[in-house]
Amino acid sequence: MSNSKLYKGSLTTIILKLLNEEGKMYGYEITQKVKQLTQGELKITEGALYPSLHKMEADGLLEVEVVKVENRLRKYYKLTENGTKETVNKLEELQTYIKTMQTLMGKLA
Amino acid sequence: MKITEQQIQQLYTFTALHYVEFYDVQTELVDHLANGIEAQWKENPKLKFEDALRIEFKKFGVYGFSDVVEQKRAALSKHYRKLVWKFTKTYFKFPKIIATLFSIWLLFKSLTLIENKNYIVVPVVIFLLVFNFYYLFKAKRETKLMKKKTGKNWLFLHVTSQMGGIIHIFNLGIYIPHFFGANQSWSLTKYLVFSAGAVLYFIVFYVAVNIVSPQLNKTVEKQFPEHKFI
Repeated sequence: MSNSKLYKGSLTTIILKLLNEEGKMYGYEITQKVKQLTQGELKITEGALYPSLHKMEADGLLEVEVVKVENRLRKYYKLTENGTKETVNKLEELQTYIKTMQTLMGKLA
Repeated sequence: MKITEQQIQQLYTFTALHYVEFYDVQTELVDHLANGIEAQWKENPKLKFEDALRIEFKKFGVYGFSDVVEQKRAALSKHYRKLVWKFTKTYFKFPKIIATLFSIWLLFKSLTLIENKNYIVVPVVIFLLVFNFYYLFKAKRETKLMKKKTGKNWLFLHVTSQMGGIIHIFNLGIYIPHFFGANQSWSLTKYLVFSAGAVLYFIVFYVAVNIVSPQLNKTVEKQFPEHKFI
């Protein structure tokens, strides 16, 4: 993935949250959306994105729809029911992590 | 500027040249590259297709597409095995557990009653191995047939023909006689382990061939409705 290893562990959460907001997205769109939302601070690399998407699909978090767009096929991903539940869990997990780290860093400062 | 139909075909060829032989993986990569190239043309319309493609491909890192293919294969195989496990478990729950336990008991009882256990062990092992090899042969033939019919290689067919890797465990069946000592007399524990093992082996195989593989075919057929896999 991108600039910092810290982001790597959050890739699944980022994808889940994005799909939760947008409904359905394709791989390229995800990379561009993240780049746009973070003003280029976070760039999801292709080599990290697709393995994550495929793993999430295999784990039953995402389902796939292949649609013909112009002259090519496009693979859209959307959340399954399990994926929606997992989004809530992952976001809670992330919030707790951020809070804990802030507390810890605050005390160490 | 938009990618032409001919350039799309060039992108398929490009992915194939970079060791992505499966159409179900190529399709996603082709769309990704095409989107990236079109985005570059927005910034620089004079950029050549080949140069734009080189820039996009570089973004996949030093290993190119190989990580994508390998991890997709691993994810799909794991998914397959998880489905086999999920359906196999139902054979150990009510009501199917009655049939499972009855089969184990029947095999066990027959082994204890018969004078020479090999009259049962050998046919059972042969039956399971024949079942195994027949499936391998059939799966190989089906993969070839689908390639002929669709003109493409499919990763999911490759994964189902290997039963998500389970097939390699089944090949251990060859060592059953050696492991159990075919020419020695067996203890009751060995009878029981053999009976339970043979029934479990059969259930897992049956579930994979008759439930999981067709289910996966159905999922991919939904994604690519222009192709029929069932």
